[in-house]
This record gives sequence, structure tokens and C-alpha cells, in this order.
Amino acid sequence: MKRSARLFTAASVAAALTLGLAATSSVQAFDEHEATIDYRQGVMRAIGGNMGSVAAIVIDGADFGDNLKIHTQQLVDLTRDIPSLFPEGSDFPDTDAREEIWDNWDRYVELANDSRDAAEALHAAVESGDESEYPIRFRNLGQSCQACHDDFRRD
Amino acid sequence: MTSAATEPVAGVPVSRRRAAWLPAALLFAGLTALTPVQAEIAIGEVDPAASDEERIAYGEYVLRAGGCVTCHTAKDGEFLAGGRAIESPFGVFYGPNITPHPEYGIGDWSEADFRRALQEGRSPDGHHYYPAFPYTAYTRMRDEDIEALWAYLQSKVEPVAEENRSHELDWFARFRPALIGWKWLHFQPGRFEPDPDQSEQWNRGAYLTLALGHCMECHSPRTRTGGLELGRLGAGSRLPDGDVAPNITPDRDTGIGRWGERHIARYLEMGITRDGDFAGGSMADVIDHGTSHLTSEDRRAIAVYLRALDPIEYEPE
Repeated sequence: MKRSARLFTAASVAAALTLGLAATSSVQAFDEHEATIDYRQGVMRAIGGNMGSVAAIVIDGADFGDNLKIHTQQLVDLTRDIPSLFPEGSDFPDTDAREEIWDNWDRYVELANDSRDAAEALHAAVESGDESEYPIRFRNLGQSCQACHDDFRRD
Repeated sequence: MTSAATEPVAGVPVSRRRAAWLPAALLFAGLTALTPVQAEIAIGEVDPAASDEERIAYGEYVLRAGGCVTCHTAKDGEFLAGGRAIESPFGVFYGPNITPHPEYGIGDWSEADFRRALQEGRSPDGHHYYPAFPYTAYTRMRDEDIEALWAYLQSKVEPVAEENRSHELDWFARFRPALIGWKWLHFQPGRFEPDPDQSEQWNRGAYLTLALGHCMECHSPRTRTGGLELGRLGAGSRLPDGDVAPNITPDRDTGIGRWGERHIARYLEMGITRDGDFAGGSMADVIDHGTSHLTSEDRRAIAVYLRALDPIEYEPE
């Protein structure tokens, strides 16, 4: 094989390797974000599940009042740091997250914190057994969810 | 001046390809321009038992049930002073100022002007409104509701000197006389007729859903010519902003067949879905500014009516 041909082959191999490695690392980043998105969506569904259960008890009088604290504790835990579920780059087009989250991050964090605070307030009422506050605080929490979805989620 | 819808895109033809009907409509415009306009609708009797204060308070309720606030108030704007953008396949409409400001709002209108706008889709100077303003539904409104709404708007709303923003429409949509053709095809004026075979609650729900709340404007697919598909009312639609107004008929798989009346009523009050999710987007506005202000009886009536619709299996594309 002539020298120039060998050089060409070596360059081709090097280029292929470089491209392959770059592709692998971008696939890894993609996979990592996909896993983040799966996790985030699972958390959101868990929040929804707990909200549905609390609504059935607090609004419609389902006879599971003894379990209320389980649900409100989970809501406190799951809303504690919602912004961490939305790292930059986790806005693939097929998610419901709007780009405005990252464009308007401070506002987003503020609304997420409203949900955290509202969940804590609901849980506090349940812990103290102040039943007259349950529906009010549940509505407040729901409104905080809605306010955030309104601006930052595709529907 | 053009009015606007209470929900984004309500009453607006839904896709660009459907603009193909326009040449036909233009032809119609020519053919029908000489047809006399409908006779002025007689002003109905007012409930003699209601005091002015009661009527005005009821008018505010009508405003909420009619979902007027959403389109007639810009985000962070003055109440009912207009400016809210409503996307459509034909461009962007801006909800106009309906405060009683004599120059920029509707302060110099008469009650008959107001009635004609809602029931006939015509402005005081006689031009036709774009159906972004859902007069196609409001035409079913009871006279006394319009009267109460008018009394409220004129007496309790602060006049705001906010000039109406011009719509930003594609060239083919700017020719307003084409609306005569559109109305000929798709607008059936007339009041809501209660069904004597149904309960009072069902009839109230039907009135709130079809007339005041104009729910079907967003929640129904549209024909090629931009009218509602009457055979699939409530079966859902993809809106020009990309969001889906879902199927609200009681089909178990594609609609809300698994929702009970209490789920629907709760959703209209708080935005919580049957599975604990919370509405966002345009429906959140509809709930915040509209249905959350209704009485629980009225929300329940809407639920009863929706549950009684024929289920339609359909998912918006």
C-alpha cells in the first residue's frame, strides 16, 4: 500500500473513531436526560395520584381520613425541590415542559416554591387536625399547580 | 372594531388548509350582499321582580358564565380593556376593550347595539364580526341575561382609555364582507330552546354549555369551511396554538366517560382532573376567570348535561 493511501486510511479511522466517540457521548447525554424526564414524569404522576386521593377524601368525603397524612406527607416530600427535576437540556420536544421554564427560570422557581409552601401548609393543617382548613389549603395547593402548568406546561 | 372570543380561538376556523373555502365565501359575499339583513331582534321583557342591584349582580355572573374575561382582558392588563391575543389560522385577533369608555370601549353603544353584537354578530355600524367572537353560541343567550350583562358592564366596570389593537390577519382574511358567506354557511341565529322532555337541571346545563359557556366552540372539530361539525359536537379539536381541546363527550376511551358528575364539577371549580392532574393552558384561564365563579349547582348542571351527551369515539389529530 502506498504511503498516501495508508495515511488516508489512518485519517479515516481516526475520524471515524472521533465521530463515534462524540456520538456515543451525545447518546449518553441524551439517555441521561431521557431518564431524568422519565423520573420527573413519574414524580408528577405521583403528585397527581396523591392529589386525587386527597380530593376524594377532603372534597368528596371518601372514608379514608386516616390516610390523609400519608398523602400530604408525600406531597411535601415530592414538591420539596421541583426545579431540580428540570435540568437545562431536558426539554426534548416530546415532553410537555415548555422552553419558558429555562428562559424564565426565576419565575419558574418562584411558582415551584409556591407549590412546596402550599403542600407544607396543607400537611401542617392535617397534622394539627384543623379540618376546616383542609379544603382551603387543598385548593391553594391546586391553584399553585395550575398556575405553574398554565405558564410552563403544554396542554 | 371586532370583538373576540372568551376562549382562545373559539369560533375560529381551525386550519390553514380550510382557508380553501374562502373563494366560495367571497362569491357568496357578492351574491348575498344584496340580501336584506335580519330584522332587529325585539328587546325582551325584563324580570319585573329584579331590582337594579340584583340585575347588575346577576350581570356579573353572566360575564363569568360567558367566559368573557379571558379574551377581553390582556395578561396583567386592565379588567376588560382588551388586548388579549387570540391565535387563529388566519392570523392573530386581539380581544377589544369592552369597558364603558365612550371612545375606546363600548360606552357609546346602546343596549340594542350590544344585543345585536351578541345575537347577530354585527357591530353598531353594521359590519360583520369574525367568529373569533363566539356569537355563534351567544345568539342562544336569553334576552334577560344580555340585559343584565349590559347593565353590569355599563355600571360597574371602570372605563379604561385603552385603544383597541388591530388584528394581524393574513391578507385573505382581511376582506370582511366574506364573513357574510361564512355566516350564511355556519351561523344559525336564534335563542336557546329548552327541551321539555329533559329535566330543568339538564336544560340549565345545556344552556350554560351551548350558549353562555360556548364550550363547543373549542371542543368540537370543524368542517372544511370552518364551521362546527354538528355531528361531532364536543368530540374535541386541536387548536391553532397546538393545544388540544379534548373530547368532552362521555366516550370511555377517547372522552370523559370515566368521569362522574362530581369529577366534572370539581374540575370546573378547581381545575383538578379525575386523576389528580391540574389544567393549564387556555382551560386554566376558562376555569380561573369563568367556571370557578359559578354556583356549584350550575357546575353540576353542566356535568349532568355533558354526561348525557351521546358518546363519540374521536381523538383530535
